Parts: sequence; C-alpha cells; structure tokens
Amino acid sequence: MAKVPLKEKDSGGTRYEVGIFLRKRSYRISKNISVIFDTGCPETLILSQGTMKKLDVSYNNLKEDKIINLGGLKHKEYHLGEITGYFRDINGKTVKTDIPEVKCLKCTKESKKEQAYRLPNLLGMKFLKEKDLDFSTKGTPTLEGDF
Amino acid sequence: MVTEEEITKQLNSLSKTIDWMAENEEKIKEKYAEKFIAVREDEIVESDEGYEKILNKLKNKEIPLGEVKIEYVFPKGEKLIL
Repeated sequence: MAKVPLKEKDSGGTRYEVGIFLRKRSYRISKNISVIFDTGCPETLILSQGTMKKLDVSYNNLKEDKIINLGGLKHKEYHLGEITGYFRDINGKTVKTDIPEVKCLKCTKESKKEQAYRLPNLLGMKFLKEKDLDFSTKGTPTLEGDF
Repeated sequence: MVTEEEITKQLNSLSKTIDWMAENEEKIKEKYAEKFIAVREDEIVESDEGYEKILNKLKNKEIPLGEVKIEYVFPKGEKLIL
C-alpha cells in the first residue's frame, strides 16, 4: 500500500495540494502539474485552461461535453480520456497509476481567459472511488491505497 | 522520452516547490498579489500580471515549463470559491 502526502492549501482544511507527473503519448503530454484535491469535486481529474496552455494541448481534437460553472466562470468541458499519472509517495518513491476520464476546461468567453488561467487543476472524489483509495487526515494528510 | 528516474527527480522538485510556497504564503502574498508567479523549489524565477506573458518570459529564458509551478497569487483576504 502506498501513501501519497498532501499539503494543506490556504489553511482552510478542505483543500490539499499534490504534484502529479502526467504522461499521455498520443497528446505528447509529459509534464509535472500541481493539483488541488477537492473533496467537493465529483470528477477524477479536471485540468484548467492554464494547464492546457502549459501542456501545449489543443482542444481541436477533443470531444466536447457540457457547460459547467467553476470559479464564477462558465467553461466548456472536454474529454482527454485516460492519462498515466505518477505521484511521489511518503518515502520519496514514485507511484504510477492510470487516471480515468480526465477532463479539461476552456472558458466560454475569450475575454475572460485571464481569469480562467487563475483556476487550479482539481483532483476529485471519483479518482479515489475508481482506484479504491482512502483519504486520511490523521497526522500528515495522505491518499492511501494500491495506486 | 522522459525516464522514470527523471520523473522521480521532477516530482521531488515539485514537492519542494509546493512545500516552500505553503511555508512562505504570507510573504508571497505581500510581494506578488494579483500576479502570476513561476516557482522552482525555493525560488520565484518569474512573475507577471498575465499568464501568457509569464509563459513567454519563461520560454525566452529557456526555463522548461515542466520545472516550474505557475500560480496566480490572490491578495490577502481573498479566496477562490470553486
């Protein structure tokens, strides 16, 4: 069983940050990102518009989905499919896992994109459910299980 | 092709960055409020009011984007509601 440590974000006790190395060969994705683990997020992983820009992935070939409201902005959701993610466990070892049903966002208004760039990537509860992981807040907050 | 060894190295570096930013949150807010910052471990390597501008600055400096964490600094007392 692996334990991946999380860092409390904004001292609020409800959001935690963790680094993930993402890899998806078909989109030439091979970079580190940081994500906020948000217990209120029902998805597996949502990539922000800023991260899509950083990863240099075009939305052109991605399947569109619904419109969602996040951070006070309307976004169109796109499907990126499954991505391989690498986490750093509590002992400094790398843990590899598949992250299913990854989605990404694009603000519906071009004029609001700078605001959209401020939003973080979100790791949600569906990831824990799909991978049968536990979220522990005893001592150092961690995601625990067989990644 | 990035090797698993390189991935581990990059994850260790990002972990240091996340820790350093959490420990220095107040100082960062004082100096860089309402700006995007690019941080590598314990160093703010670039800042700008615009996200695309900071990406261009990093490219011009030949700093690989995978080596930095780019984040918008919300001013003190302001929180992002998701």
